[in-house]
Amino acid sequence: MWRHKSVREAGACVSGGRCIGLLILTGLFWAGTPFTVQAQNTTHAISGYVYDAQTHQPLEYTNVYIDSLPIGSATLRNGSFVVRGVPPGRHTLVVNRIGYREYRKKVTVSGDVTGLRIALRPGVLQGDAVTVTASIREQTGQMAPADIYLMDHARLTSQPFHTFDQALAAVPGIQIYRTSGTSVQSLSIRGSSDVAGGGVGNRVLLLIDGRPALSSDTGGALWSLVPMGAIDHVEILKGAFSSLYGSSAMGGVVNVITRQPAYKRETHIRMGSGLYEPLPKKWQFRSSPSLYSVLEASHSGVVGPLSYLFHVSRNSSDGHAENTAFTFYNLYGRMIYDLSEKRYLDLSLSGTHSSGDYPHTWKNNLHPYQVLDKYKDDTQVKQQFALDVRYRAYPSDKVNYSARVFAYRNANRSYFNQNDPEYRIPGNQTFGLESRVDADKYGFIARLDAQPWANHKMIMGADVQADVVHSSPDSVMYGNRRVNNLAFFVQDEWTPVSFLTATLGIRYDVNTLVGGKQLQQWSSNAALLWRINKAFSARLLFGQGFRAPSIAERFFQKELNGGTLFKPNPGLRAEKIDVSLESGLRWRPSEKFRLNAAWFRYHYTDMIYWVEISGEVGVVYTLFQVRNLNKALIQGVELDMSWLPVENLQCTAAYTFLDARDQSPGRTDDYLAYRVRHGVKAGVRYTHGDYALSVNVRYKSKVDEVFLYPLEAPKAYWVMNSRLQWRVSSMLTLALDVNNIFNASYEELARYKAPNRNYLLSLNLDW
Amino acid sequence: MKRYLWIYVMITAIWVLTSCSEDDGAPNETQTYGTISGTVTFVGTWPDKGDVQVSAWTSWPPAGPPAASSDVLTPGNATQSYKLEGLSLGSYPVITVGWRDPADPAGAVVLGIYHGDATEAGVDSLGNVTAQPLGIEVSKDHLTFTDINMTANLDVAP
Repeated sequence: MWRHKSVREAGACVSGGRCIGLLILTGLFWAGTPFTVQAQNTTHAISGYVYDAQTHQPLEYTNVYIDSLPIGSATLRNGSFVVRGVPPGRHTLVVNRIGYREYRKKVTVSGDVTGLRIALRPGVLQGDAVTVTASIREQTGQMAPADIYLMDHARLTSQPFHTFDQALAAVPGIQIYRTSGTSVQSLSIRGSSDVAGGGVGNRVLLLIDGRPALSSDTGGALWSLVPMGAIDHVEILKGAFSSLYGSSAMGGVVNVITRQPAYKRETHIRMGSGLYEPLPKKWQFRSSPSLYSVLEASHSGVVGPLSYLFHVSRNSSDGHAENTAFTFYNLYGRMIYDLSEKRYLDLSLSGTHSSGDYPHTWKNNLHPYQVLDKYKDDTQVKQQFALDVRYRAYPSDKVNYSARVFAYRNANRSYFNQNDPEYRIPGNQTFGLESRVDADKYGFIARLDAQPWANHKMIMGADVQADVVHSSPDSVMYGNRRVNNLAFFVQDEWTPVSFLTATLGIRYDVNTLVGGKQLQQWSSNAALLWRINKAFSARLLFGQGFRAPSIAERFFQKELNGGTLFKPNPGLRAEKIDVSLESGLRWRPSEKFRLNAAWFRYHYTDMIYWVEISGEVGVVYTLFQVRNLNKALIQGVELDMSWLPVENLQCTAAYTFLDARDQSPGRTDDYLAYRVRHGVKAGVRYTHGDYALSVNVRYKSKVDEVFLYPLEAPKAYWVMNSRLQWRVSSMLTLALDVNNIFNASYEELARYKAPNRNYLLSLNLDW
Repeated sequence: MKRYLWIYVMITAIWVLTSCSEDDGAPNETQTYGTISGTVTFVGTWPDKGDVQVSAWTSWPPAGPPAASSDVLTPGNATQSYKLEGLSLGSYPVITVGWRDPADPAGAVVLGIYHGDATEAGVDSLGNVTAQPLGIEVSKDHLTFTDINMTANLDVAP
């Protein structure tokens, strides 16, 4: 909404006493308001419509702002916009969107200017993006009160990504730990999450079109629900944001924005076949080559006031290692019904089904692509379902509101040693084990976005969620549990002068384990954004965050496949980031160059962590318990730049340094497990006529600390991937991906080999 | 024709890059792993269920899953050989002979440990370790350890 630089401060009040400062600050916010009410009387509005010059489709998420003033807006779903508060005079109106050439027009304002029709032409220059995640409403990326990274549709389709985790792995500051094709064990933003299996210990909130997509048993993100072929863009918000999103938004938020249904018919098909390069003979685990495939189809159109988008995909793989084969289906549908020009209903339905092997650690160093014989018949079936209905209305230029109800089901079945004739049990008993989990989530979120005065933008709302888990066998899993969460939040963005914006937010959560513990939590967020000049801005952020323990962390008893035991801990407390500090600079001297630098420091208390307690309890078998650590500190720096030296060459590079330490008594200065100190991400895209070559590379330094297998902690590695595209015609594009070009042999998780070099040939049809 | 030349150049470039890999996915030849082998002499009565395996651990008392385990030993045999291979370089402070029911791992017990005297289990009838374990350091200079012989007391298993 605003043309300005990004700023943020975050804060969470752990107790009411700590909120006094926040209340004083709130008072100061409102103290500035009367001055702006007067100023509003002498301003005017500019309104119009933005569309794609080639397709004539309206463009949503487009910035429209007055150059050199902190005044701006974003287009709505139908491409319309209103910029209010424009003082009389001659101004430059700027319109830009990622993937389009910037549009500039001189406008003389002596009264309201209406009916502007603005056509944007596609281009590679880096216009500033519109984001929705930092404030739960549309605003210019540079105005976002946070460090926010955006991956747009063009980048998603031009880079060698065919699954969502591959795309996220290229984002600065994100580390992903995978065991096989569909098993993202952990995603960490700046070292936030643990690597504990099944998504346990996740401190990153996944949103799909703004609704939380976390499994109600483990708190892990439901990554497989993301419809890869229907993504418009992805926003990655870094840092604690419990003040807006509550529990789990400690390390950050990944918000997947799916494509709007088109205003005309569009169909897209993608087919691809891949091949893993054969392993050396001594490592081979199958006689025939390992293949994989991807098939996607989507169709979008409009019938009267109803526009729709359907997307279906199938991914399958023989597996790059033994016991990593899978078949995966994703079905996604979205319908938008325009009740009027300024009110609409948005319905999303999605479902996934995956079946395949249960991934296991390697057999030993000599056979790193194989598993023990007794694990070869372990399998799993996962099914997920999501329903979301949202109503949104824009009754006036100053007010809009929305309400949504949603439901999720995450059903997991794991089968171990089913009728295994090779698994020798004395007495020849048939030996089979099975675990079942049905994890449901129900939610309701309502919010109001208002601009009561020209220099105040407020957002407020309520969030109600219920987690219901049924699992069996009772002696192994979590039993039947229910957790209710009720929350209220409010945030205000204040621009007292043209070069400064301050943001303040607060949220209150009540989290109740039915028949058990109740947790209450204040979370706050504050930010300052200083626009030093047209190209340079600085931000200062302070905040707090929290995460309620998941049902799995409280009640998990036994890992069936490996036999590892856990001692339940229903009395776990919420973990908190008491102090989250970040300062950053953003330099954007032209559309061709952008540099972002951040320094961050997160103080955790009561961090939820896995502790091996067999020695303490005095047993000879492995026994873990999830406990609240006393303290932990994660700090570091991040540099991220993009550069277009010439129009057909794009370069990106990023570096993250992380220092993550357990500061509990007796463990001071021990590293936290699976936090890497150095991470590098870089990419180049070169286009020449109808051809394009994209290469990306990522580096991860060695893992200093692991939960299990300390002698096999993953070593440092470089991995390079590439995609060569040929646009044969306006309908047909061919692509050749070569992943892991240098055939690096590496692990993300101890004892799990990552994929070796592989090739994917695909064709895209669009009409 | 020029456009096809360009794509040919790009594919050639990728092919050259893929040919420049440090290895063929094979392990670095300088990478070395250790081996521990020996025999286990059993005393007492074999339990009617569960697995008996030799394991190497990276800490003492044992914590976390073992760093390496042998194949499941054959029930009934009084003396059996075992082998732990593909061991990473590092310290293994204890080698155990253990019994575990995979369906009920909480009942796992130590039947014997390596403590330098192959005639004694080093474990009393309740499963308490009574001898000082003898650790093994696998290094580039010393990769193979043979005759790591132990005695296991099967009567400790339930």
